[in-house]
Amino acid sequence: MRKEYIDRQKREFGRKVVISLPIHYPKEILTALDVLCVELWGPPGEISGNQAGRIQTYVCPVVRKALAFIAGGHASEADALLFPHTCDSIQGLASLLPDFGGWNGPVLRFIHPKGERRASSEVYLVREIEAFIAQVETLTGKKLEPARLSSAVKLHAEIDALKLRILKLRRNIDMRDSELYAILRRGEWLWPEDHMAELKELASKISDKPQKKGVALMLSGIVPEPMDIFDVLENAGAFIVADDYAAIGRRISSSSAELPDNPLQAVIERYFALPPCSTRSSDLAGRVEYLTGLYSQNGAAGLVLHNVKFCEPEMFDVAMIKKRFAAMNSPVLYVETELEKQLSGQLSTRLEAFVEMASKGGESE
Amino acid sequence: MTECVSIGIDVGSTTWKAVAVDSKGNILASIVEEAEPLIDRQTERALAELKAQVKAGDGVRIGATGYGRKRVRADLVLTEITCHARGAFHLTGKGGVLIDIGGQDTKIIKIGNNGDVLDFSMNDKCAAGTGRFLEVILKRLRVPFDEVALRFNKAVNSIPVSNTCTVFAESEVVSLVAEGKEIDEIVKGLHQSLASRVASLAGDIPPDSEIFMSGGVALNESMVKSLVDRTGRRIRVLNSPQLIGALGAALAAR
Repeated sequence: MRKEYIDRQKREFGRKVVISLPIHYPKEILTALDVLCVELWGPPGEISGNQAGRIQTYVCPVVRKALAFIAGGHASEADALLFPHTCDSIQGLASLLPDFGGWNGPVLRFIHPKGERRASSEVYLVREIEAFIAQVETLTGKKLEPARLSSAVKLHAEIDALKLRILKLRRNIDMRDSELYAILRRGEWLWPEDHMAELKELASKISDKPQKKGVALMLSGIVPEPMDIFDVLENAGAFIVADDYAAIGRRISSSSAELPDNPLQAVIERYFALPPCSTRSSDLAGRVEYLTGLYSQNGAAGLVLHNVKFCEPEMFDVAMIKKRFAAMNSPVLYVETELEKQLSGQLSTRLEAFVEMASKGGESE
Repeated sequence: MTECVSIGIDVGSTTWKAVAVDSKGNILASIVEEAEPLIDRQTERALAELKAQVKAGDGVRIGATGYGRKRVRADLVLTEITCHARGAFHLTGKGGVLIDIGGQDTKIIKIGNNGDVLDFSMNDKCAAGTGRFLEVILKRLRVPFDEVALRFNKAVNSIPVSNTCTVFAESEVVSLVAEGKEIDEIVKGLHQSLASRVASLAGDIPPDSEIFMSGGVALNESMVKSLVDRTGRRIRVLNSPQLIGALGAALAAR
């Protein structure tokens, strides 16, 4: 279905297709230049072919599986690959890819600033976005028109506002978490207007009263894979009330209300208004504050830290987050997955036991 | 006979356990047997046997736990972590740290003074540090379970087994045997290596916390001794340790 959709985007709308690795990049620029972005988070499941064996097994599975996918020739539908500067492993993959074969096309780079907003990082980001625009213009052979960029910024701001509303009123939607997240994640490959239509339909299902009962949990991590984590939690009597996945919540810019008229400046503002993220080297104390705020505002009763194995940026933050939540007497569970097709029995048991613990294990003696 | 109010079933990877309890949580009868591949069929048969033993009526409530818990038609299904904590608290009446070494996983459960699970850790990657690890290696060494303690105590030295992976450890043991190393010393080293892994999973146990042990491996006195030596702490093995999960399930289902 995804392949057919992508083919149709190229055939019917004449759009270029860029396959992007995670996580942060100025999607507004791609939309404005009529480029469909398809994100590569793995893909989940078994690694096929021997290409992944060319890098160490202690490199994160997102990168190892992406290598297997690209070097195996499966990215042939793309007009270019995009490597944001998420971590050293993704940067390393971009450097090594020419040696592995499987891809001879253009490679785009977006090296976002790390750390907090400063005058120097603003100047740097402007230059980096201008350089990114030049790369995409070369790819498409089109010139970026300010009016089109303004429209794209507006569209993405509306998408973010809708996602924010959906996540905030999550309790009031009578839908399983696995279904809701499947819709949210379709933004990883749908044309933004198509994604917007689906989000509007989802938002129309928000009712006046809470529809979800059980143990309210906050999930934080890189990407919700395998997706059956939601079913395991929901079947155990929990539901997701707050989201801090890098693939979802951490990419929702909160600047949608007031943006500068200058579209380039608006892109900058939207970037700096993203929630804290380990892959952008956000200040850890600020990130912990953000997470405790998100947790308490949404009435969560437990936090699941769901990391991708060997994701170093995220691992650096985990100890401090656990410490702070422990000090608040809030239950925390740390789990690691490797983009498997489904959770192992033991991992399911850990998640279920955590729900039981967060709900005090039913009646106590 | 006192009336049976509930039955707890613990479908483990190695053994199938069930206990019938009265309204006070006293165990009226129990069954422990090797786990069969067809969980539904085994549960139907063994449950009928247990019900007949205690003359349980149709109204008796059923609680299920263990890795096969979802295959049991029960009134309440809970994880082993909650059930072992429930069972241990019922027997001891106090909080503490419970070490449960089962067939395919090891759990460290911190139990509060009211019996709630306060925290837990559990291996979720492979069979390293579990009963299966011991079973596989002892089988390779052709040491039956009833000889383990004798051999363990006889060994003057121990040969550590350094691989954490069960499959690699098995190869390591094969190499040690081929080098002519003493089987008794390998047996001792094997238990000490496992104790070291379990202790590492447990982390720092507060000095005022009592340590309890449940699960089938608690019946292995060499393992208990290795854990005592490794942690430097007294460890209380609960009565009928392999039944603690089933007991917890029965208590929760009352």
